[in-house]
Amino acid sequence: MKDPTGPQARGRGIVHRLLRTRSGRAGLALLLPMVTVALLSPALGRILPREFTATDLSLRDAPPGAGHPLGTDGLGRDVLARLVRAAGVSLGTGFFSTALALAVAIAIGSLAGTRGGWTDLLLSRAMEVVLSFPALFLILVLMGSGPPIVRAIPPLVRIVAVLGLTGWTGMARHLRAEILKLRQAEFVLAARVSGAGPLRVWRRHLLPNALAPVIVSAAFFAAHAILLESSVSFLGFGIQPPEPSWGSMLADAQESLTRGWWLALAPGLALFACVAGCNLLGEALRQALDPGWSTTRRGEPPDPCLSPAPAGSWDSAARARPAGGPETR
Amino acid sequence: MTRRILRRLAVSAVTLAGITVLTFLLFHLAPGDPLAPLEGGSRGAVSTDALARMRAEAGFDRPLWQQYGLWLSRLARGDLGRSLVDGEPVRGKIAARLPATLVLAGAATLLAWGLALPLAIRSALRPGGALDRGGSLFFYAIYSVPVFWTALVLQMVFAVYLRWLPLHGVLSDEAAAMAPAGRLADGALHLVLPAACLAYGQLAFLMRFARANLLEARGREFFAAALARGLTERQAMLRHALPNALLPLITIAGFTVPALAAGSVIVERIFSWPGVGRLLVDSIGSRDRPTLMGLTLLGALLTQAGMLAADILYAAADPRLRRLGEERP
Amino acid sequence: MSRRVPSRFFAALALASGLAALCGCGGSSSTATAPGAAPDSGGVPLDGASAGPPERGDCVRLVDTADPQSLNFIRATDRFSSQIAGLVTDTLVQYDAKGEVIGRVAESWSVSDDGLTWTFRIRPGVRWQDGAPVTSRDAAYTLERILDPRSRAVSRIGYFTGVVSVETPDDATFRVHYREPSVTALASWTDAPLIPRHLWEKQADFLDNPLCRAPVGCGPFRFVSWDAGRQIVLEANDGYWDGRPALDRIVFRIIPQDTTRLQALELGEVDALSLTPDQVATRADRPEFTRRFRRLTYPLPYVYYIGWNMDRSNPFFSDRRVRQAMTLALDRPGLLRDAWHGLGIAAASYITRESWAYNPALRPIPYDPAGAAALLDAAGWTDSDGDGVREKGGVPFAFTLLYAATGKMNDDTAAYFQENLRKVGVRMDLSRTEFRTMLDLVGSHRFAAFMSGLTLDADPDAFDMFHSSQARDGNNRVSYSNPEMDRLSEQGRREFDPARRRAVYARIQEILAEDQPWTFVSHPLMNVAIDRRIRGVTVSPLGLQQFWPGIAGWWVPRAEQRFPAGAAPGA
Repeated sequence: MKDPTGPQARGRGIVHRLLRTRSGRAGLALLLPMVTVALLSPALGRILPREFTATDLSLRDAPPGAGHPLGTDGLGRDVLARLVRAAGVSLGTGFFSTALALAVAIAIGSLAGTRGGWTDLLLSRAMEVVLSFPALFLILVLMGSGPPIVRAIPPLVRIVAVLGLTGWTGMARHLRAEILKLRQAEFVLAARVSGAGPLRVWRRHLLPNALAPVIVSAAFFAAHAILLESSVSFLGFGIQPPEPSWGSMLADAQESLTRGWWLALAPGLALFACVAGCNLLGEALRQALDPGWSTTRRGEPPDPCLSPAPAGSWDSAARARPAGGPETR
Repeated sequence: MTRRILRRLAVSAVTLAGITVLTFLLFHLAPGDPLAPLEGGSRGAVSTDALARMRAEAGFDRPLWQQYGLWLSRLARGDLGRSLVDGEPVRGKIAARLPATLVLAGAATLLAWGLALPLAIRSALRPGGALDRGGSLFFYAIYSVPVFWTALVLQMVFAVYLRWLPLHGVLSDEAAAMAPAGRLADGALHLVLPAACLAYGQLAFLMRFARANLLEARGREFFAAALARGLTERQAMLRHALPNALLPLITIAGFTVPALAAGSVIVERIFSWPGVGRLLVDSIGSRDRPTLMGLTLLGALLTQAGMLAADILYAAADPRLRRLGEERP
Repeated sequence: MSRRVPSRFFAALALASGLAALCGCGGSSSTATAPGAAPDSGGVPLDGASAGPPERGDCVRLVDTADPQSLNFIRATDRFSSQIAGLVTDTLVQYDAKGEVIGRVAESWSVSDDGLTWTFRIRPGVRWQDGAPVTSRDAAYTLERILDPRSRAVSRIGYFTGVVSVETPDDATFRVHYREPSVTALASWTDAPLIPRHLWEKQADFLDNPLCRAPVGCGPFRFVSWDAGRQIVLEANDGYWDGRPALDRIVFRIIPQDTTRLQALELGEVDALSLTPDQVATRADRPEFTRRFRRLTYPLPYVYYIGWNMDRSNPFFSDRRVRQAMTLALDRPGLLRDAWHGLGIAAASYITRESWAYNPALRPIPYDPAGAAALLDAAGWTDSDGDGVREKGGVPFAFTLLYAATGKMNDDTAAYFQENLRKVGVRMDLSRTEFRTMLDLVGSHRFAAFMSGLTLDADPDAFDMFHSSQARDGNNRVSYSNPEMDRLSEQGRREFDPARRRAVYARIQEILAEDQPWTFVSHPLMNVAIDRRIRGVTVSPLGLQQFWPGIAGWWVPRAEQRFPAGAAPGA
């Protein structure tokens, strides 16, 4: 296996290739506006005419109109203001939980992949143990009825932590499998022979090359995390009022499905845009990072759903779990 | 082959042990009082002596590892303890609800696989065609919508507006008076909406995954060879491409349990389905620790069982694996 | 004695069938009506005299959110179980539609001159649903089980801790000896559901045996089945001593999702449902709805309040001026009018208008943000740094309100109050938790302020909630301490003379209005939609049930029955 061109060149190439794919363009088109709004949400909150907490009982459930471009909710709060605030909340949750999961995955996956032997054995079993717990069960339990120490943590932080700490297993497995493959590569052996220490080998050669497929998984995980947060908030265990999240806004809008369509449409579309955007981006990343990417087969690029299993491993947990799997939603 | 399977079972056993440890720790993180739900109410409700007796009897005052041992030994005998809500054995409570969830999950899985494969085959036979493009877009879209939303919308459209399907529940009132065939049909009607909601996420993913694999198999030599031998595209697809594509699909099948478990929490609530998902949410609300532990354990065990079954199936299905050495610990 | 269980108000309101299980007040025979609501009588059947004699048949479908905790009526503490207990079994005495105590299983009773001994005579001819006769020994056994800590009868045991001993000299005589004379001793027996000794004695484990899932009682309906997660079915008890009830069957459907419940009502799968104010505003005024359903609006003996922690763990609420300012700053009238659509009555104290103890001279504190600001200034809380939040001695006026996640109305109320306080320069953060978690935190005094509701007893006893001795381990969660209140609440328990007692409680209400240990938000109004075909529905001060006859008095004219005999659902 050759060492692909250095990380910097690859970085530029990726964005380029992303934009060339249809999914990449679509994904970015959906995500960028949302992400921008989310990042700017505190500032936007100050600019918008109404605050997301300002109630006005005389204007309850008003349809979109003057002064309230997206209408008002049951307490007369401006839906647009809440939507913007919720963007920060929902996307922030998605981003930080993904970052956390990725960090843990890199740590554990690398350890397992590089050390081998008993470390690998134990860590793989640990991964499998955590993997076996249905994430939503764990999340509900920890959010809803955890011990007082856990409950003392504000819900926003708690849900990020719980999502991250329950979701790292897939990416860790992926990383481990990739590292196992790469360890046999010539350029890695060459590096070792030339006297590079294991940490250096990991940092400069193994990790950058193994990370690519894991980033793809991360994109899918982000979509998944945003969906999970909305489901948990819908059930009432997630983000607590008065902080809005798209999930809780949808939960509030349930009763008014017929008379207050704007209450459900805005958060629903926003949620959909982000989740679909992340999924599309993941797909595009997979296409972009696949070294064998070409347009030969009957004018059709190889479908990115494929992800090769490391040779010889027949244990499904050891096999790279295909990214974007039928995970908990 | 048998040695491999035995090895795999041994690995599973270790993982199972890990699962019990993690489940136990999860619920015993705090020095909090698990009998707290019993208090509250009029003063002098339960005397401190009575509480102390109950605590000692349940072993809450012993060191953690002893409690684990106690719990584990009871577990081995099938005793999951008693619910703190009504004092009934947890095993009984779960057993009463489990069949409903299994029926729902089973129907959803059948639906997902039953639709995914034919659709994937159709798409793979005519890539880029109307069905392929339209289908891809559609499934991609619904994959990004959270389950609770689809459920609410479908319920409103089909049960309230169109009145084609029942609103909720397992059977109609009149079912008792019907003939067995009628009752079966009534039950099937009630199953449609909840199973559809539970299935569509899986369906979307399976369809794309199967399609990708089928397309890939289509590009291989054996396919061309089959065509050269005079088979139609369709026959070649069914006889040669499909078996090859199925193999990776089996891997996925092992991971459906967590997804189903999570989806069932929401679907069961919205459609008043009397399963374990609802028991979970109720138990969280009432801080019924023994039931929560039982349910979490169940979820983890079923996932493990699913993965194990998938692995064994995979091993049996792929003769090449029996000869390949293992690279995994 | 009183029951002091903070209840999930909006859980009861929004979730259950339209049957509130409450202990109400005695005495008053009129019910207040909500502004704009149809006047519904107290103690008089709604269809008036034109309805005619009850006709047999039909099945009524009611609804609840989740399975009952258990059908072991002694053990269970939830409202659903109480509801079923009221139908499947009987009590010695019960309230009637006017809120007065009448005899059920006990045909008569008397109290000794020293007030320490109550003697009940068991009515002859009352039988358990398996045929065995009901005797005084069943009553004794029931009491024994309530008092046994192993039964975990947390909601009932408090009523009977004053019992010293019981005697059953013969089958028909049940004698109870109390430690001290108590005004509320008789009323406490309305909440002691009788259980058959001859069946329960044989069970090895009181908490886990078949009877917990298939109860046997002596009430108007017999238990048929409990389909976990789906429904509970009851059918008429032909051998009931007071005559077989008119309805053939009652089915309780279990539907956890709010939207599904309302849809079930509209689709005709459920016959009665209590509506949230939002649902009332959006669906209930439509002509199709009013054509099929009758809407009942009636008051509940319930108070919705905010408790301010005065144990000095926070620098705010030990000062009376601050507490008064809080009440003035909260727009309770606006909330009731707009967010609750008028489905609530402003509360001046915890005692409702229907109670004999109500002090009519007292007015609810108005909404006056300017007055609040003035009080806060006077108390030393000013916004010196112009950041919008008042401070004093460098400490900002910021605290967290704790409340339970029982529904959207609760969330909305909290959010609205948050805004109210922000306008007067006080920052209130919200902490929404599970109901039990809130009970925990409140019970261990780990809060600054909490918002909750309280189901009120027949008796206006204030001792539990406001006596200083109850601050640490009792139900005086806010650590309120006022010597005059202490004296008065003790006196109220011992005072047998009605006029003097009334005066005591009038003064108690005045003190509460001055001191504001709680901000009384409202007495909510229950809003229930019932299928028009159902007759014999009586609204009493206690609601639609937990009095005689309650649901047992419902019936449907033969011409309108949906389930003529034999085709009733729920087999």
